[in-house]
Amino acid sequence: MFNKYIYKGWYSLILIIMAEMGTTNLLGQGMTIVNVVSATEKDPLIGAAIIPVGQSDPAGWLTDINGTAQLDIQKPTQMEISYVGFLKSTIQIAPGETINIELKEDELGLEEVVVTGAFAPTTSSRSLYTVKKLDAAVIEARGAVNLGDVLQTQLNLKTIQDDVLGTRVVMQGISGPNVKMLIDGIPLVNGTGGEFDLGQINMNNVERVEIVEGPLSVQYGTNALAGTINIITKDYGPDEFKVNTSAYYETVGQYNFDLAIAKGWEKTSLSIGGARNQFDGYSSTGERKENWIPKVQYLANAKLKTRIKTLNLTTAIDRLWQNATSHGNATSAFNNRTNKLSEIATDNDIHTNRLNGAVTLEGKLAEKHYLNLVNGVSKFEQGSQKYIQDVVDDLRWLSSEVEDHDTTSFTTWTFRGTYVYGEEEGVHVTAGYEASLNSAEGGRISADADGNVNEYGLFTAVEIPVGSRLKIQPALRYTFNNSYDTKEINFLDTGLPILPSLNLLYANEKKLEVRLSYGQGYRTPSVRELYYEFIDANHYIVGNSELQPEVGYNLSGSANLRKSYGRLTFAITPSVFFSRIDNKIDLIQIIDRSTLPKEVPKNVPVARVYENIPNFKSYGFNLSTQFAWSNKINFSPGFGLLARSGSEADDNFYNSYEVNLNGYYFFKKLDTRFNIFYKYNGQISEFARNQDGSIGVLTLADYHTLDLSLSKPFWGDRLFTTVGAKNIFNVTDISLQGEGSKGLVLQTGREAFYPISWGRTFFIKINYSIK
Amino acid sequence: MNLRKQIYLCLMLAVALFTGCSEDDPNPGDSIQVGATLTAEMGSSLSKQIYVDLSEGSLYSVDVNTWELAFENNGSGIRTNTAKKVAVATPTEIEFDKVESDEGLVYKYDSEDGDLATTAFAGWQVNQPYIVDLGVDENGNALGKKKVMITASSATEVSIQYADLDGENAKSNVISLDAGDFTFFSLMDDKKVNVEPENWDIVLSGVTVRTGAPCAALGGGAQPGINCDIYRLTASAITNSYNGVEVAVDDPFKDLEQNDDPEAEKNQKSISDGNFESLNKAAFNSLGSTPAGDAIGRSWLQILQPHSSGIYKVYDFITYMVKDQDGNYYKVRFLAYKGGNNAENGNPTFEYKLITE
Repeated sequence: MFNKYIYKGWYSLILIIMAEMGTTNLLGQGMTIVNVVSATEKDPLIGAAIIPVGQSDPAGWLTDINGTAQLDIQKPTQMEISYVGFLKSTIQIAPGETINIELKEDELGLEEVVVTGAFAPTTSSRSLYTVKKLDAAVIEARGAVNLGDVLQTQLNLKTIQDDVLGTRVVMQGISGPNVKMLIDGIPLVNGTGGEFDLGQINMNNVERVEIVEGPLSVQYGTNALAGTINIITKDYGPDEFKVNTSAYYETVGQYNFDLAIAKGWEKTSLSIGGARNQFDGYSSTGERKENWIPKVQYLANAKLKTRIKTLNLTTAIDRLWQNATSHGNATSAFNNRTNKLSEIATDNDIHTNRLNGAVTLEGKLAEKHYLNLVNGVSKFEQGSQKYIQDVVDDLRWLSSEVEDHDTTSFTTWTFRGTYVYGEEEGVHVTAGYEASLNSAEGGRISADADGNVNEYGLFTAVEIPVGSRLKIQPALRYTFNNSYDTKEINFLDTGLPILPSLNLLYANEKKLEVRLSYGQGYRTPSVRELYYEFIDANHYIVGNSELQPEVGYNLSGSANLRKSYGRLTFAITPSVFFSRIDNKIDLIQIIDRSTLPKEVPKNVPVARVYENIPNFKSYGFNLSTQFAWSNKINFSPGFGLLARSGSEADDNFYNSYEVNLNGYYFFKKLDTRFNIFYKYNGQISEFARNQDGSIGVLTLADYHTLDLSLSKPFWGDRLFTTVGAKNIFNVTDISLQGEGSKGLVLQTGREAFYPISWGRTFFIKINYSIK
Repeated sequence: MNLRKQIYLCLMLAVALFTGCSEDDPNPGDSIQVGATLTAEMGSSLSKQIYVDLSEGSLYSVDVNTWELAFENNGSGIRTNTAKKVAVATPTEIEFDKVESDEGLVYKYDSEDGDLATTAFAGWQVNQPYIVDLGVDENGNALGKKKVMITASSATEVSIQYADLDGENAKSNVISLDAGDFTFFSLMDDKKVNVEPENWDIVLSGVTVRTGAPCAALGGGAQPGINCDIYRLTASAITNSYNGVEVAVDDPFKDLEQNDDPEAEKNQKSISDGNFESLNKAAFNSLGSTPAGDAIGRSWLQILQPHSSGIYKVYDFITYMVKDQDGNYYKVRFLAYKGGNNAENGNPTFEYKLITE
C-alpha cells in the first residue's frame, strides 16, 4: 500500500485517538450498520472514521477489518465519514439502518493537512494560500537525498550549485536570502554565503515539504519575500514502536545510511535518528578541482512529544556535522620540505556544523481557542582551513597565512506565539507576536559589527466568511528592528512600520477554488550583508552597514478547477503573480579598484560589496494540471513563464520558460510504482548595470532534466525499494554567455559554464522498517 | 524473520555503509633528480628582491618598498626602483616651484637590461625638475608623486631637492656616495638605504613591464592604464652587468613561438628536453655570451591562460650558463615559480651547478 507512505502525521494521530474513543462506544442497543468501501475498487476501508457533525467532543466510530462499523445512535444523525487518502463524505444516518458508503479517492490531495501560511493547521483546499506539497512518496520516488534533489523539477523553482557554498534556491526568479526557510515553522539561519545550502537539509527525517510562493511576511517576518519553504519533520503516534533504516547508493559516489527509532506511549512519543552521508565529489572536467566537492555529513535528531490535556508539547533538536574538502588543481611547484620538484595544490577543509532546536506548544486550548507557541534556535558555524597538498609525495601541511583560516558563526533565536479564536468555518481572529534575535561572530565578520540585529513583530489577522463560498482575511504586522528604521516600510504613506496582506478564497463545492492575495513583504539586511568581511588573496567581499531594508509588494491570483469523469479526475491550476522589490540588496562588483582600502591588493580577482538596487520587478504565469486515473495513474504537466526586470535593467524584461511533468503509474499486480520527473529549464538571464551605464546580461543556456524510477514494497511493506536513473539526459555543465558580472550564477568567480548536475547516474534506495 | 534477525540485518547494512571508503589517489609523477637548488622567496606580490651569490650559494633578501633612486657611485647614472613601478616624467616647467602637475606628461621606466644609458633618468641635467612616481606598495596602492631636482653633483656627493607636487613636504638633502656600485635613496623617508650586498651575481626582482599597446599608437582613444600603457610587475632574473657577469643561453626550442596558450608546443616541453647535464665550458663560448642585465630576464617564465588562474609555465629546459664576477662558470635552470612555505607563486626555485670542465 502506497498510502502508508503518503498520509501520516496528523491523520494517523487523530485516527488513533478516535480508535480509543470508538471502542468504548461500540456496545449498545439498536445497532446501526455502516459499510465503507472505496469508490473505484470497492475495497473495504479499514479504520474509516465516522463522526457526528457539529459535536464538540470528537468521539465517533471506526470501521473494522471488513470496513464495517456498528453505531449506537438514538436519533437520525448527520455523520462525517473520513479516511486517510479519501475525500470526506457527509451523510444522514438513521438508527437501525444498514448503509453502504463509497468514499472517493483524494487523488489531488485536497484533504491533506497543511500548516504553512495558515495560522492554524488546515487542509489544502481550505487554506487561503496555495500550498505546494512534496510528500514522502515524492521524496522516496525521487531517491532524494537532500532538499535540493526534491526541489529540482518544480515549477518556479531553480536550484543553483556553487562548489563551496552548496546548492541554493531561486524562487520566482528571486534568490535565496528572500526565501524563508523553516523547519516545523522555525526559521533556519542561512550559511556563510548568505544563502541556505539545500544540501544541508537531509530528507531522511522529513515527512513533507510545503512551499508557498509570494510573501508571508505577516506570518514569518523578514526574508519571507519571494516565498517560504517549510520542512515538516516526521511525527510518530502513541503506542507505536518503529525502527526504520535505509541505505542509499548512487553511482556518482554517494553512500548514505540512516537509522531512526521511535517509541510511543500513551501520551508521549520519543524518536531519535541519525544518518551518515558520504559524497565522493565530482568534476565534470576530470580535474582535481571539483565543481561538486566531496563531503561527509553526520546527522542526528531527537524529538520528544508529550500531550498535555489538549495541547502537544514538542521538544526537538537536530544537528548536522559536515566535513567537506574543496580541492585545488595541482600545478608544478618546488616542495621546500622534500626539496623536490613536485605537483602541489591548495585544498580547503570546510567544517560545517548546524544546530536547530525547538520547543513548541500547540493545540486547542478549548473549542474555538487555538494556541501555537514556538521557541527555537538555529545556529550555523563554518570553519575553513587551507592546506598545501603535495599530490606526488602525498604530503599535506597547513598554510602559514593566518588569513587562510577562520571560523564564522551565525545564530538566530525565534520566539513566536499565535492565538486563534473563533469557529473554524466562521469568523476567527488571530493575534501573535514574534521576536527574532540574530547575531554573528568570527573571522569573516567585521570587528565593527555592533551587536545583534533584532526584530520584534506583532501581528493580527481576521478571517471573515462572506456567504458560504467566500472567505476574506486581512492581516497586519507591526514590526520594529533595533538596527533600522522600519518606518521605511511606510504603510499607506502613514510612515508606520506596518506590513499588510489581504487574502481571498472563493471555494465552490470542492470543484473550484479561486485565491487572490496581496502581500507586502520586507527583508532587513542580514548580519552578513551588514558586516561580512571576506578578505584574502583572491577575495574582497564586504558588507555595507549603510544598507536599507528591502520592501516587496506581491499580487497573485490562482484558480483551481477540478472535474471528474468516472475514474478520471483532473485539476487545472492557472496562476499569475506580479512582484516588485524596492531596495533589493545585491552583491555589486567593485570596478574602480582604487577605492579599495589600503591593505587590500588592488589586483584582487574578486571585489564585491553589498548595495541596494532601487527596484527589481518580476512577474510570472504558471499553468499546472493534474490528471489522476483512480490511484493508478497520476500525471502533472505544467508550464511556467517568468519575466524579470528592474532599475538595473532599464526596465527591459528578461523572460524564462519552464515546462515540467511529474507523475507515476501504479502497476497494481506487481505492487510497483513507476515514477517520472521531467523539467525543461529555459534559458535564464541575469542582468546588471555596468559602471559605464550599459546593461550587462549573462545568460544560462537551457537544459532538460529527466529522472525515472521504480518503487516497490517487499515482505509485507517491511522492505521498500526504489531504483532509478537520475539525469537521463546526462546534463553536467551548462554554458553561460554574455557580458554580465553578477547575479544568480556568480558568487566567487567567472567561468564560462555553470555546473548543473553531475551527469547521468543510477541509484538504489532500500528502506527497511520494523513495527 | 524474527526481530533479532531484522536488527542484525540493519546493523550489517550500517556497517557496509559506514565503511564506504573515500579515495584520494594522487597521481604519481616522475621525480627528477636535481642538484643544489635555491628558492628566491620574493612573495606572491613580489615584495622582496633576492640577491644571489652563486659561489657562496647564498641569498640576500631586501624589501622592495624601501628606495626609489639609486645613484651610481663612480659615474652619473641614476637607476629607479622598477620593482615597484617607480617612473620619471620631465615637466615643461624649468623652475622647480612652478611644477604643480604631471598632466599630459609621459612617464618613463628603466629598461629591463639595467643599462644606465637607458634608465628613466637617462640624460638628466642639474637644476632640471623631474616628477618621480613613487610607484606602489605591496598591495598595489599608489604611493604618490614627488617633484625632484638635482641641484649639484660630484664624484662624492649628490645634492637633491624634492617636494610633493603641491609644494608640501619640501626637502633638500646632500647624499654622500658610498663605496659599492650604487647609493640607494628613499624619497619617502628622506634617507640613504642599504640595499645591495657586496657580492652578487643575479637578483630576482620584479620589473615593470608594459602590456597592451603603447598609448601613442591609439591616438585620441587612448586611456593610459586602461586600454594602453598598462604597466605590470613581473618576476625577472637580472644579472650583475655592472661587475662583468655574463650569460650564455641554451634554449633548444628558441625557434618555437612563446605564448600563453597552454597547448602551444613550447609549453609542452619538459625538463628532460633540456641540455643541462651535457653542457660544458666550451658551450659557453660556442653559444655566445652577453653582458646584458636581462640575458636571463623573464625568458624562463610564461603565464598561461586563463591568467586569472595564476598558472605559470617555467621553461626548465632552458639552461643559463653564467660566468660570475670571479670568473667561475655555472649552469643555472629554473625549476618552478611556485614554492616556499605555502607553495605560492613568486617563489622561483632554480638549480645551479659549477662547471668544472
